[in-house]
Amino acid sequence: MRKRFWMVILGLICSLGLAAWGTCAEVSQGKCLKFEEAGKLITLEEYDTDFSPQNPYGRPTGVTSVYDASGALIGAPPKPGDILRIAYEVKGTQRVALKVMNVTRQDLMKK
Amino acid sequence: MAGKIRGVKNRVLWALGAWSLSLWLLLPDWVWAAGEKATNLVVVADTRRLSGIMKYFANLYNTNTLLFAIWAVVLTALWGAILGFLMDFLMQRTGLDLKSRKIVEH
Repeated sequence: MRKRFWMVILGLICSLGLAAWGTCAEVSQGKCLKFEEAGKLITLEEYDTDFSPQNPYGRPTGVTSVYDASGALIGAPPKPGDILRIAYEVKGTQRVALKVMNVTRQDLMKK
Repeated sequence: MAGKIRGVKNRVLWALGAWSLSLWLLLPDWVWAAGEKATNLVVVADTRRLSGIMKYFANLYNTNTLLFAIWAVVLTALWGAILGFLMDFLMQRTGLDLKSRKIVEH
């Protein structure tokens, strides 16, 4: 009985692991340079992961990227200057955003 | 005459009832209108510095919330079972056998 119970648990865990196969997204964080409301295109200046008290969100890398957020779940509307965190998938040459978090307007660390 | 007065009374009561009901239904709208327009609270887990199982769960949170919720349920149940077995083991060590309970009260 106990063996059967553990087999069921193991099977469930394996199937959950398999179900998650292929669901993978990159994350980037940085300063919003431009947000086109019509096409939902976000231009972001990427920040690195070198966090410090002076740079709590990382340091600017100078690299800019454009994200297509037309199908993304967007929190507080991004404005130029806001720090954004974007989960995205790369499709061809395009970065397609899945979720956009406005870190400036909903910083959980401040609460 | 009495019937006419009763009719007017009924109509006034109906009007008052309808007015109270509309007030009751509109109340949440007025309360909402008082505050700022609410926006979605979207949280993205930062997976850039994570690895292993933590990265797996953070990534799942970003991409598949349903599967993440199922995992939460499974892990909570698993944790409950582990604690249950552990407690059984500890109680057995103290001499209390909880598996075969005899009713001694009667």
